[in-house]
Amino acid sequence: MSETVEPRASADGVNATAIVFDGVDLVAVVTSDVEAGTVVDAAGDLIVARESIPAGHKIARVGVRAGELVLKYGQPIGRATRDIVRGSHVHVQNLESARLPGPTGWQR
Amino acid sequence: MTGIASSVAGFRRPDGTVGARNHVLVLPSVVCAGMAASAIAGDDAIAIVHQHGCDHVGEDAAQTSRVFLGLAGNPNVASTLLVGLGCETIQGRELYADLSALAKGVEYFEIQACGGSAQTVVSGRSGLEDLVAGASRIGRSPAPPDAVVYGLATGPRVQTELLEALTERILAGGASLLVALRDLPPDLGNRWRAVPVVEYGAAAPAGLAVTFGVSSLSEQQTGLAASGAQVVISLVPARHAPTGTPISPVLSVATDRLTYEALHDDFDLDGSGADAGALSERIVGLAREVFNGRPTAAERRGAQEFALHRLTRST
Amino acid sequence: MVAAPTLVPGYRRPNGWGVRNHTLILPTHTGANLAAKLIAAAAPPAIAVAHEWDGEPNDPDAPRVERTLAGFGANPNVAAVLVVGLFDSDRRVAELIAARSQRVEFFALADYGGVEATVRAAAPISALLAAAAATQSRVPVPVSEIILGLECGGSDSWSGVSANPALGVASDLLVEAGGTSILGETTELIGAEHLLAARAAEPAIGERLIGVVHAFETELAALGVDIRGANPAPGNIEGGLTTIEEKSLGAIKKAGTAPLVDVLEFAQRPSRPGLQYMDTPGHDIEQMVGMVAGGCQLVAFTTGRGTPTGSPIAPCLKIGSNSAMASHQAGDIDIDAGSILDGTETVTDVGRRIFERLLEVASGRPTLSELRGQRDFAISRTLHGVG
Repeated sequence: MSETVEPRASADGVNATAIVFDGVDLVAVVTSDVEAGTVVDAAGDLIVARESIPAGHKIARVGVRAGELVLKYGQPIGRATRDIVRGSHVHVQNLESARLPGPTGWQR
Repeated sequence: MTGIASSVAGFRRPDGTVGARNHVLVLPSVVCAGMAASAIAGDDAIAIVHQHGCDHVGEDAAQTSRVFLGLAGNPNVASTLLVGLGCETIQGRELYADLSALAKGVEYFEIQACGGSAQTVVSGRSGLEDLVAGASRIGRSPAPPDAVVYGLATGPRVQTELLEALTERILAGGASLLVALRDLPPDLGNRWRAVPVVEYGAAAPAGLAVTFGVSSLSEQQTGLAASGAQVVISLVPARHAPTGTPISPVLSVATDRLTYEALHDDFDLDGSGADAGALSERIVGLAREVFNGRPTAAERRGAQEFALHRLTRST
Repeated sequence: MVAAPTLVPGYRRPNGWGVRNHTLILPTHTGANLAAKLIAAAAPPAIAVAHEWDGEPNDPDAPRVERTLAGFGANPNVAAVLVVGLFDSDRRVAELIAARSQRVEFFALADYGGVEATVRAAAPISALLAAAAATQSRVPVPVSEIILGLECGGSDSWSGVSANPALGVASDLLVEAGGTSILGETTELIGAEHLLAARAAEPAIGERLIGVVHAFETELAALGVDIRGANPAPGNIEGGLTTIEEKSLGAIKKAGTAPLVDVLEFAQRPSRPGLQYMDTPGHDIEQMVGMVAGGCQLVAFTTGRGTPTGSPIAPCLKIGSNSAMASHQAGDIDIDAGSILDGTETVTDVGRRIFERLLEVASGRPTLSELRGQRDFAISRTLHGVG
């Protein structure tokens, strides 16, 4: 079901990078436009991008199950709406707010 | 009733409608593009500076888009230059696509794409030149009375006798009429219950129609212009000031003596205490002259107020 | 390390300290916009604003609107304000301004028969106000008198990485110097409010903050409104922000690390120094007007996608999150925080740079939005009374 994406060697031998904000984060933010197969260095962890990801967008550091909370900055930024494979583009197609629409209740 | 069913003279548009005026409109899709729109328009076009398009939700966003499209589509508008920012809720690009379907001249400039406001103004001024040149080639030509759509703004309350008399005379002359009421007064005749109802800013059908739900006079006037009224007749209630719209001349009729005396320079007619029949004759005659080019008091002082009715707060 | 300056040249007012010296023409209603515009045009350098408030006196939003207009007119960046109303009853706004020890004059269209006669009567008075303002000079003002509005608009994924954290450093420097910073945009607190509440100086303040967010979410739910599409907005989404929580977690970085000392209503003035939160919508201009009405003499505005907006009376400093946008829209962006992304500057470096620039701006250096004449104005309404 999850096809393997072959890593593509970059032209100048330097990997693309992604910022990891907190060690518990499930996503990292790529710093440049990335193509499928690009090797992305996310704080030392080399992730093969499974698809193209625009600069500033998120790449999955790990697999995420549908319904699971996704962490960035060490905090929840929403829930996965479908299973997400490591290296995927994480955005509106597979991530939605856990707060809106409608309040989900608040805790002190 | 002589002269009521006479033809008018206006500016013919590609879709067959006829304008009472020949404006080039510069419209920002969002509040943040307002200053750039104003600078682009200068003295050569009409800019609308508003506070909308950012953090708009749901039906409210759809209504605002409808109003913007309606203003650009009004027969008084020869062409439109749209200014967007690039990140806003009411997307300039989508509005541009809708405006392009109008078969009138349209240009679009996006501040983020152009590289900031100064560049947008330079490019916009250049684009405006073509639109203004195109508009200047259009002149008035005769049109039948059914080319005219009058809007009638009444504010939070209306004198029903005057409303009935005015409606009868306007329709007898062959024009269409869209009446903005806060709600249906109980003492209006039964025929009004069968009159088509139009949403705020939506296109006015032929004949008689009403639109409800807005009590602000200025917001009603803006909505009527968006609905396609080439001339707006405004029955100004007590303690309200006469205002205009950016694209459709507003004929302000005072209905309260004290208000007329307080703001007499800004009214077109003193209707306070007048007989409904006689007053409506005067209004209809004057409205036809306004269509044909006679400036209203609002136009003479440069009053182009824009007030958009909102359904939901900014979020 | 060089100590930060404690004084800047500013204008002493009866009600505070200003960083600008404007003569403002302020309409109470839409129907007075034209008169205000013509008065300002006839009596430069006065500045007029325009808005779409056309409400009746019994409108539930009337107190909020009057508080906004009065606060805006009473801002210490304004030397004097000429209020234009429709009828004499609109004098109420001028009275609110006078109660704040601000120099104010009032004209009603109904006293003169209409717009043009009002303009003929008011323009000479406006000229006198501006002439009196011109005689005032700057004197040393304590930096602790500065109230800074923290704003973001057109955010992208980098806003929370570069520009916002850098602004947070600048905000902390101001608060350490005894000044005040105000964070707003309640929509963009959703998902991050617990982090700010945890920094409250007292638990009750944290509870009030949580309550403000809860009330807003409840209102949205009651309206049946799906906020997605408005927030994150299309530009945010193109820029990589997916959810409101994600946007909020980046937005909150503007507030640095200082403790939260108060929670303010829209356009309410702070009663103590330090970092506080004002309940505003995310709408860029409504928020800016609310903060200036609450007394902000300066606004620091971060942006990822770019926006030219500015305030008629308060300098608005634009801080770009990335160098590509900041250079592409260089005419509108004062500070490029994109150096953080390529590693040539740290967040602290840029934060200090922002703080120093804010002091220069306070001392008289114009921002790009001031030079471009960006005078955006909007009246914020809740529309709770609208059926």
